[in-house]
Amino acid sequence: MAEPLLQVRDLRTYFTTHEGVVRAVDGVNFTIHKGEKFGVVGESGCGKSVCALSVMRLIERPAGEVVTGEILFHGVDLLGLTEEEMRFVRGGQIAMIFQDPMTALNPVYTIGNQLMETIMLHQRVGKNEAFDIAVQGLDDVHIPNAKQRMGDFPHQLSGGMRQRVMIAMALSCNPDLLIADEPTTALDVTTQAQILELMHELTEGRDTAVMLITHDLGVVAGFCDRIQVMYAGRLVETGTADEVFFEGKHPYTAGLLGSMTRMDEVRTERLFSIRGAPPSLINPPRGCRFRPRCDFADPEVCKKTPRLRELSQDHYVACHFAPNLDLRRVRKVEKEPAA
Amino acid sequence: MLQYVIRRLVYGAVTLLALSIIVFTLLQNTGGGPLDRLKANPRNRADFIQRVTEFYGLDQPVVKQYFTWAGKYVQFWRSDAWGESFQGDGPVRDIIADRVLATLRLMLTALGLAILIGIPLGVFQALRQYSFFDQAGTTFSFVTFSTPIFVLAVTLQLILAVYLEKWTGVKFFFNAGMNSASYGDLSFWARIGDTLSHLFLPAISIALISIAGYSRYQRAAMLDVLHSDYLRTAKAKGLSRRTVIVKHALRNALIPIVTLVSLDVAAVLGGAVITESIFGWPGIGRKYIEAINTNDYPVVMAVVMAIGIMTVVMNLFADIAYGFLDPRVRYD
Amino acid sequence: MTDRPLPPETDAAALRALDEAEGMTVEPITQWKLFRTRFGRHRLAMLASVVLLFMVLLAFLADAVPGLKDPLEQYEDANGRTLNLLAPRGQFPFGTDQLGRDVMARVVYGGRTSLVVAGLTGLLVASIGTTVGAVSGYYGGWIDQALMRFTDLILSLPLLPVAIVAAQFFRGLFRGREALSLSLLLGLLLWGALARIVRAEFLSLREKEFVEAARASGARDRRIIFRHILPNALGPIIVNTTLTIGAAIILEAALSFLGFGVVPPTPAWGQMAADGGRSAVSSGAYWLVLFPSAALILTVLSVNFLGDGLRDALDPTQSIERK
Repeated sequence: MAEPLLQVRDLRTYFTTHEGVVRAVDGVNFTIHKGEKFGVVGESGCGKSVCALSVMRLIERPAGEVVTGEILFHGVDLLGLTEEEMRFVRGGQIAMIFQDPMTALNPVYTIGNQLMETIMLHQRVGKNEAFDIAVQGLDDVHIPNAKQRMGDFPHQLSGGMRQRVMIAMALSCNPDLLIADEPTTALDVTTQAQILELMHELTEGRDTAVMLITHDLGVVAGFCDRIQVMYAGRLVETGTADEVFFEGKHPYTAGLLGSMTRMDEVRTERLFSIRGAPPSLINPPRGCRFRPRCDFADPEVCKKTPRLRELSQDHYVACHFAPNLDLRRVRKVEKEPAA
Repeated sequence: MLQYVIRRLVYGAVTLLALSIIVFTLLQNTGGGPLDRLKANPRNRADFIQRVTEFYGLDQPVVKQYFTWAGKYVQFWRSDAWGESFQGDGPVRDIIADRVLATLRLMLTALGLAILIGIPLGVFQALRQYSFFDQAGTTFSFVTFSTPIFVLAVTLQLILAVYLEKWTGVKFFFNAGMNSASYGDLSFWARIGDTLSHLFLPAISIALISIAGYSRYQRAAMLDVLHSDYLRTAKAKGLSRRTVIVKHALRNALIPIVTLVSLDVAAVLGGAVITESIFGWPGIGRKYIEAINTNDYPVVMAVVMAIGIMTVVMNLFADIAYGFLDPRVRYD
Repeated sequence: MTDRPLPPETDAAALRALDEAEGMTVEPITQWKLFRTRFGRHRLAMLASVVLLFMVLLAFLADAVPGLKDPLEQYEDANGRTLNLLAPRGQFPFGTDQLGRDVMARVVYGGRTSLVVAGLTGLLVASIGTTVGAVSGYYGGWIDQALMRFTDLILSLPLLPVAIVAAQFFRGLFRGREALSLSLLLGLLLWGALARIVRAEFLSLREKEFVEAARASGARDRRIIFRHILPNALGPIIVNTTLTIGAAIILEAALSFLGFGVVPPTPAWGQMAADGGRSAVSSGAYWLVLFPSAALILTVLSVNFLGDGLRDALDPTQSIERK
């Protein structure tokens, strides 16, 4: 097993609003290993983005704050660093790319300027060398005419190209961890595939770990080694990709898988969706947060918060009844019998 | 780029044309028209009336009168192009020329003050959102913005010119005129002091209202930028707070205000009209009021056109500046 | 999960009871309720509404107010000397002006002009602006181009100089009914900004599905505009009209100040400030300027706060900042 790169323990990030305190991330634990592709899936509002922003310490005070927790990166608690020390980490050791490439790049500076900025900051090189590194970076993400492109402005590029530039920018300083927050959601399907392919290619080569955040199960399927499923600010299941997809034991996971539409199945009944809606994070349900929407809930037992239970090495589920639930009629992803 | 400038100039010309037609028509139909008013004024001697009537074609139908005026107006290089004042004050062109610089001085000072104070105010308010400074600033903006300019001017006049002098015995600010009568005798530094102490009150009266508007607008623009995605990217890259704010945020936040300043020019000129009357400033604004009250039509038309031209020119500058600041704008 | 029978190990009723106990039910919120909540949060706007209401009532029911003097009467003392330029005291809480008239009464009655002009101008601006903007935004094409060019033209006219000339013109037309002429003139000059906003709203609303649905069910253009699109555009219209009214009050005061507004002896705040200002400099009679100015500022401030509150409550297209 590769050494742990990032260990998050009992992370809680709360936001203070007019209506109350939003407990966006409420006790999350996970570990990412060196070079690992780690996926975080869940509905909008489940806290996955806030998780990532918390790791980067980009949560804006005073509205939001990491209330407790430990974020150990290479064994060092990021939450204990000064802002200056943290800036050294951001971009240089942990890089992040965001969802919308249209708005993620500064419209008034050339992409060359924005690329070189990071390089000069973290790699302590002069302008000329930074230029060369930047051009090389653009080449690596397969942008044609890299040198000319350096002088272009973001609005002159297409969405897919902009996301490539973002990737180039993020990887330019060889970070140990790349956090990708919904990197393909704003792109069309063909471009999505290309970008994922590109990310895979680049991070494999450099042994960069990736934390891929998305709501799209199809995206994590091909890309990730391990997957974590989040719901309402909490972790509900985590395991290898195979385990989560084919042996997912949490009712929510099963529900997610069941609501995926598939090209190869014959539809004879209505599209499935999990009943109900995600709970408010200001006043989440006591105990198991999925209870109101769960067909298998027991009014007494599920009043208590389920702990993460180990089902097998690395496969954890936060449910009182797992692994005893028969979820096959809910989720429809069946593992092919070994040939 | 050249195409764009030409197009804007043509546009501006059309605007000026429409402006002249509108004002001309309004003047013609107020209380009987120029000829009647001219004759009604007991000061005007018969030969003067005759001369003016011939020059402007005042006995002709209205439409023809307009073209006569317009034709003469555009030939501005001729000294008699704009005719004579109905008040007998001499050639209109000279009247305007004598006063335009004074108004420009006032207007540019007011704009300068507004930009130098208002914009940074808005930026800092955004950076310290919800702080006491921010809330005080917003309150100030609201109140000032709701205050008519003449109230502001008269109040400042009373407090800073009249009462301040009463209390301290020192004349810090003058409340009338552009320079003291003894200007010519003063030393170089005294002259500067004299000019500034005359200029201050009228300029700040106009500027305060603009400051209120700019700071609110800039605050909103800055907040928009501070919450933008690209700023988050910049922070995620590990850039220092200073770089993030100055290089990334400000550069974007200062673009929209150009449009506002451009629109504000017209308001500043309007403010000048009022302020010049209150402070006895020898500019075209004050002359305008006089001319309206004495039915001095050629002067009225000339001042309106002058104001219109100044507005068009300043708007053009602002548009070009905007193009330089924002690379997304293309002139085609 | 809704189509399949629930597995026997769950107790639906108990679960529902638990849900309700935790307050997990949802109740619908009407638009009006939403408006009331958001507007009510804006305390200054609420205060402003009250102040404005008070001023309107005071101005129009002034005759019935006990103790309020006649704004036109010039008061004399026992010896027949005019009680002019008295400082605020006793029976003249706001003092008297150069002709011995009660400043308080003049301020109260002066409000009538300003408020009537404000109201009429608002109506005019809303009507013209909405019509032009709606037609322009809905039909598009050359109508849009033509109307927008025209609107731009109106917007590019230097406001005060043109207003002054127009004021004289209208005064000639509406001899004696200055409030009407001022409203007309201001209304004709100030509708441009609203037209632009309405056009933008219509341009975007026009593309929405409910319009397509209405058209598919055979509704004619006029019906679509008035019954379907317009109600959705009402928010920005109300907000902008309110703010324009604030500007109109200031403009009217400026015109009165310069002598182009109402004709004396009818009291008007701008004019009172003008006369007051002139004599205050020499006589130190600050109250001549203070009270009409305060009335003006208070009115416009209230209108602006009201507009701001309305914007918070009605207009979803604003930027992130909160009050």
